[in-house]
Amino acid sequence: MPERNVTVTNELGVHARAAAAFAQLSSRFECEIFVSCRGMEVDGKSIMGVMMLTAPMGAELTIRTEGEDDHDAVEQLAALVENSFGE
Amino acid sequence: MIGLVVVGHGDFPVALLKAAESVLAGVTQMRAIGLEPGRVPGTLSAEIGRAVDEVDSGEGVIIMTDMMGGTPTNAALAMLYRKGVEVGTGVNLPMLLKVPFIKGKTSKEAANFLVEYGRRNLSQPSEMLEAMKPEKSGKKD
Repeated sequence: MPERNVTVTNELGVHARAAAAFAQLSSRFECEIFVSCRGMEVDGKSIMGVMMLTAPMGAELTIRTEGEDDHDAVEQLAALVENSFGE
Repeated sequence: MIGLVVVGHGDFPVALLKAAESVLAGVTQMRAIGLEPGRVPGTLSAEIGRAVDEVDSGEGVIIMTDMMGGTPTNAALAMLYRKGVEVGTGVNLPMLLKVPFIKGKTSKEAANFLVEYGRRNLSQPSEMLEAMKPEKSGKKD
């Protein structure tokens, strides 16, 4: 079960558009995706779930994946966060 | 993908769809129709019918309206005779953002899911923040 810690780098943190980008990318994978911040874990494929993390700039996210394409998923999602969600 | 038509009073549906588009990339198969005061309800039904045709890719269409009992909802309900069309009321932004993620559901199942989802995403943040507060330091009795 791959796991990666990443730091939120964009100024607005994990706001609506960022959460949507994360959930949309997550949904392309078959595996289960969990993302947590400050002890709260949510479904990475859920926009509202990811937004509920209210993760600001500088917060650490833990991305955990489980399933067939879990390695690809964790790498691509970590890259998305590290690239400031493409913003 | 399942199609969606948002219908409601005034500019609300158009603005709501615009809000969804600003959050979510690639929102397609969604249309919004606002009822302006003084409009003849019959023309509204016709416009909803055209929008349903536009967003229907064969996987069904959900018409989400602002509130039960209003003219937009009544006009939408006239579409229920069409196969694969379902109506839900009380549309909100979380619902719209969820639509592109719905897979393998009939329009009836999807509308049911969406209404429940929209309901679940109403919240009173102060209560949630209170529950998230870390325990005060020091021993508790």
